[in-house]
Amino acid sequence: MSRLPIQCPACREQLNVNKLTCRKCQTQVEGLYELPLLLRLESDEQVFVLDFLKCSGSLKEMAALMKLSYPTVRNRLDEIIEKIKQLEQTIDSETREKNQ
Amino acid sequence: MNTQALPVKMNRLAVWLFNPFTYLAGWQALMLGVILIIGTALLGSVGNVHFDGVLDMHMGAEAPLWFFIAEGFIDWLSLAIYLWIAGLIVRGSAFRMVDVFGTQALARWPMLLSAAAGILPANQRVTEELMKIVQNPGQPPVLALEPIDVIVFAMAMIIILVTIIWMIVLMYRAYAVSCNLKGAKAFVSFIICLLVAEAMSKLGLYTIIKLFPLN
Repeated sequence: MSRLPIQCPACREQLNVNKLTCRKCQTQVEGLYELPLLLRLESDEQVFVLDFLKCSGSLKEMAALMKLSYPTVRNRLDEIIEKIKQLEQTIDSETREKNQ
Repeated sequence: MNTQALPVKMNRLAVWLFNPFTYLAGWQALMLGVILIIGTALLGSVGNVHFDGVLDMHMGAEAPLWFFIAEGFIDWLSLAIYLWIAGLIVRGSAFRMVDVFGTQALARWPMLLSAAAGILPANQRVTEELMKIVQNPGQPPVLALEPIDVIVFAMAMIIILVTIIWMIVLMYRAYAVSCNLKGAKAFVSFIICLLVAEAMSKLGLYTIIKLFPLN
């Protein structure tokens, strides 16, 4: 299956979901659905978050798993945390704009 | 588990050469770094190659083995302590002390190559001749050397210069990775620490010589 695009290839703006299809009966639902926060991360960042959960949040285990040093993994985690905070701010400001 | 490697722009060999801390840090780097510092001191003691300062390397003066080892440890700790303090001030969030000290110990490994270049017999001969000129200022300078000695000496100087630059790059990368610092903050704080540590390492060695005279 193709990788889920999260940014518009033309203007780099965040993409929303417009249509959903049932895998079994092909029923289609149309609307305007925003991507949840975790799906707005890049695919490698999503993998990192999932692996981090599977390692029970242990950076040492993550470092062993990824064959990288502890500070490299921790720095990667810090980058993702920072990105999540920025995404949360973006979502908050979008919600405020809609409510006004 | 479905783990992907981090996106690494440089190839694996380049990462090992210029940023091995991507793969190696903490206690592993500390143990390996200390072994390499002692190894460098042992090799240096063979040909009186001194690392008398964080960025210094000189040849000539005889000294007991313990002094060569002390030089290595003072050079390492002078910089590591200041970078650790700088990291605490600039970073403002937690990082492991063992990563700073371990990676800084490992960052000194190019000095092993410097020591190897320094102990070459040709370098010893050139150094002895230069020392004679320095110690006898009244006499006209005469260098009784073979051309090959001068060529080897010049090549060794280039190798030593390159390894010192390489070590500084490793020291910076070690600091940036250990404390997760980037950009101007990382660069400026590193340069300040390097300059202060250079002066403090000289002071530390001077104190050791005063406390434990070498002769």
